[in-house]
Amino acid sequence: MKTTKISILILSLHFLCFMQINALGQGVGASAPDFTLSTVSGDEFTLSDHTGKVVFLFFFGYACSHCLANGNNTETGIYDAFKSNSDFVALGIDTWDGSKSGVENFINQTGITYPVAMNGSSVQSSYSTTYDRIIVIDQSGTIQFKATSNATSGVVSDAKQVIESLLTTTSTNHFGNKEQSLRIYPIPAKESIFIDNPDARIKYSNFEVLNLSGQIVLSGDLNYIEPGEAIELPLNGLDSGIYLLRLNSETNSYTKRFIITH
Amino acid sequence: MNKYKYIKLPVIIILFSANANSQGNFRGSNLLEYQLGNIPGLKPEHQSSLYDQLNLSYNYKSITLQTRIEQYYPSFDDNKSYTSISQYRAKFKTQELSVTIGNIYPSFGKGLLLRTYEIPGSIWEDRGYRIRYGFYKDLEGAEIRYQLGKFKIKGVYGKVLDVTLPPTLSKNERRPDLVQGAELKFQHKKLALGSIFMNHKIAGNSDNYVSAFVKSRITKNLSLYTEFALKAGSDAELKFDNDSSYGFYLSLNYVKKSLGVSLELKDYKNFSIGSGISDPPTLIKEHSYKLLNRSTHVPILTNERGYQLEVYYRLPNNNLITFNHSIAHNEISESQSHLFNEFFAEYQTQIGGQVFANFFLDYSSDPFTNEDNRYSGGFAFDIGHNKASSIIESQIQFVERKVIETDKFYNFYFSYQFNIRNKLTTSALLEISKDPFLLNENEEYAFYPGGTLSYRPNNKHHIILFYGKRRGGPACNSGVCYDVLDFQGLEIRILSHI
Repeated sequence: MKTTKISILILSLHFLCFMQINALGQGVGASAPDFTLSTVSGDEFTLSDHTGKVVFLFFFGYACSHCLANGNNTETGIYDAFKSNSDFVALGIDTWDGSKSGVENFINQTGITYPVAMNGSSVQSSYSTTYDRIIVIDQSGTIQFKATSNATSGVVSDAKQVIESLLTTTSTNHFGNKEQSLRIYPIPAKESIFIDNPDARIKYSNFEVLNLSGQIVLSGDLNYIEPGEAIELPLNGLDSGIYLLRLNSETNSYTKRFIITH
Repeated sequence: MNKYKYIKLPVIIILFSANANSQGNFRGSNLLEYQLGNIPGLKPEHQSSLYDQLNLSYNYKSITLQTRIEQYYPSFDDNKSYTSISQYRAKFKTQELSVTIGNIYPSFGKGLLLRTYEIPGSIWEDRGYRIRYGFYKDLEGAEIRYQLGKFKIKGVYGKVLDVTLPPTLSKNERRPDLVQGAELKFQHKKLALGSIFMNHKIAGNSDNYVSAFVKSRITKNLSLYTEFALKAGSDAELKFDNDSSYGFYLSLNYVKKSLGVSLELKDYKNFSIGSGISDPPTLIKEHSYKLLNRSTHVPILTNERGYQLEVYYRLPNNNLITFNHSIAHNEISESQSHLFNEFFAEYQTQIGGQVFANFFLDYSSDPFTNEDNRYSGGFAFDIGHNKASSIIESQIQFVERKVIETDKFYNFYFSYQFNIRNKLTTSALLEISKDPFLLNENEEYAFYPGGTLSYRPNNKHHIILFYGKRRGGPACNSGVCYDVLDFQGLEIRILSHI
C-alpha cells in the first residue's frame, strides 16, 4: 500500500515537473537565429548579411580534443569543395569563448582557412547545439542540416550532400502564392499525413521527408495536388520526432515542418 | 516572485514517504549548491543561482525504486530555470535475474562500444547555456541480466543522454542515440569469454557493431583482459580495411609481492560512435595532482594507437615508488600526425610517525595541442597533529607551446589545508598562470586565490563554503574528461543524507 502511495506520488510529480521545462530548440526547418560575431581576423560576420547563400557553420571549443581532430574534416570535406562557389559561405564558431591566441592555436592545428568567429557561446545556445557540431543554413535562412554527432568524416559527408543539393536548387522555401493555403495535417501525425490545397492546383514532381539532421528518410513521386483533394502520404513507421516535408517541383521547392507521435 | 518555490517539492516527497520505512528501506540524499558570482570578466559580476538535486531510493525485498529530481533557479534568466524529475528507475532482482527500467548506467565490455557514467556530486555547466545540471550520461530504457550456470547474458535497450545539452531542451534533442544490444559471457574457472552485439541508430542511420573479449587469470600473478570491437559492414559482413571502424584494447597485470606491473595497449580507428556513447579506456594516467590532471591527453577515437606502462614497487616503511609512461599516436590526416608521450615518477614516503610525503616529476609532450614540452614537479606533505592534521601541497609546471611563435610560460599551484577531528576543514588555495590563453590584454599573470571552509556537523550533513576565484579548464575523473568553467564569487554546497 505504501509502495503504491510512493509510486503514485512519484508519477504525479513526474507529470507536474514536465510542465516546468521549457523545451527550447532550433531544429531542421526552423529559421536560423541571426547573430553577429567578430572573427579572428578582426572582421564582423552577420548571418543575415548572407541571405541568398548557403551558410555552413562549424561549432567548436578551441581546446576540445575531438574538435581539434575533426576540424580538418570540415576544411577538406566541405570548404575545399565549395569555397570557389560564390553562393557558399563557411564560418567556424568558438563556443568556449577562448582568447584570440587560443582560437589561433585551434586554426593552426586544424588547418582551417575559412573565417573563424570568437565568443560564440551564446550562438551555440540559440541554435540549441553543442561543440563539434555542424549546421547548414539554406539561402532563405532556414536550417537544413543539424548534426547530432561529432564532425567526423561521415557527418561531414552527410553535410556535404545537403550543401550540394542546396547549391543546385535554384529556389527553395520561398512560399509562392499557391502554397499560401497549402495544409498539412494531422499535426502531430501518426501513420500518415495529408496534403491539401483548397485554393489552387499545384504540380510537384516528388516529396522528401527529412529528419532533424537533414537526412532524407522517406521520399516518393508526386503529381498534381488538386483543390479539395487531399493526398495521403504513408509515413512507413517513422519514429516519433520532428520532421521536415519538402515538396519539390521542377523549379521550386516548398518545405514545412511536422511532428510524428506514436 | 518566489523563484525558489519548487524547492518545496523535495520536502513534500520526504514528508509523504517518511512512513515508508516501516516496510522496506527508504534512503535519500540531497545536493544543494548556491552560487553568488560569475565567470571572471563577465558582467554582472555577482549573479545568484540555486541548484538542487534530490535522490530518493526505496527498497523492498526484490524491488528497488529510485528517482532523481533536479531544479535550477538562476536570478538572471527565467528561461534557464527548470524543475524536473530527471531520472526514475525501477529494478527487480533475484539471484539469477535482474530487470531494470528507467534511467540506467549500462556498459558493454570495457566501454569500447558503450559506456554510460555518472560523476557523483559533479554539476555540469556550459558557457553557452549557463544552465547547471547533474553530470551524468545515462541511458533511458531497460536492461535485463540473466545468469544460467556459467553463462551470463545482458540485454540493453534505450536512448543515451548527450550530457552537453541542458534539461531545458527536448528529450529528442538530448537523447539522439538509440542503442539496442546484448552481451553474452561464459565463465569457466579463471577464464571468461564474451561477445557483444550492438545496434546503434542516430538521425536515421543504423549501424551494427560486434565485439569479443577475453578475461583470464593466466597465473597466480598474471591477469589479462583483451577486447576487439568492430563496426559491421553494410552487407552484414565484417570489414577490416582503411575505412573500417574498430577498437582494440589489451591489458596485462602482474603483481608479485611488492612489485606491480601493468601494460595496456590500444588501437582505436573511426570509433567515435554517435554523440559520443563509446568511451574506451584512455591509457593515459589520470593524475590526482591538479596541474597534471588538467594537462591530460583525451583519446582521439578517429585514430589513436598507443600504450601505457605502469610499474610500482613497495619499499619497507610505507615507501612507494611509481613510474608511468604512456604513448598515444594520432594520424588524423595526411598533414596531421601527432605523438603524445608522458613520463611520470612519484615517490611516497613516511617521515617519522606523523608525516606522509609525496614527490613527483613529470614530463610530457602533446603536439596535438601544440604543447611540445611540459615539465612538472611538486610535493605534498600530510602532517598529523594532536586531533588535527594539515596538508601542504605545491606544484609547478613549465610549458613550451608553439602557436605562431613559441610561448614559454608556467603554471603554479599551492594549497594549505587544516583539518580538525575530520569535522572542520579550512583551506587556502592559490593558482598563478602565465598561460597566454588565459590572459587578457595587458595582463601579465592570471591569479586564482580562494579559500574553503568545510564542516561536517554529523555523518549525514556536509557543508562546504568556497570564496574566491577558481580556475577551470579540462578535468578528468574516473576516465571521463570534461571542461570546467572558471568561477569567481561565493559558493555554498550542502550535502545531506536522509
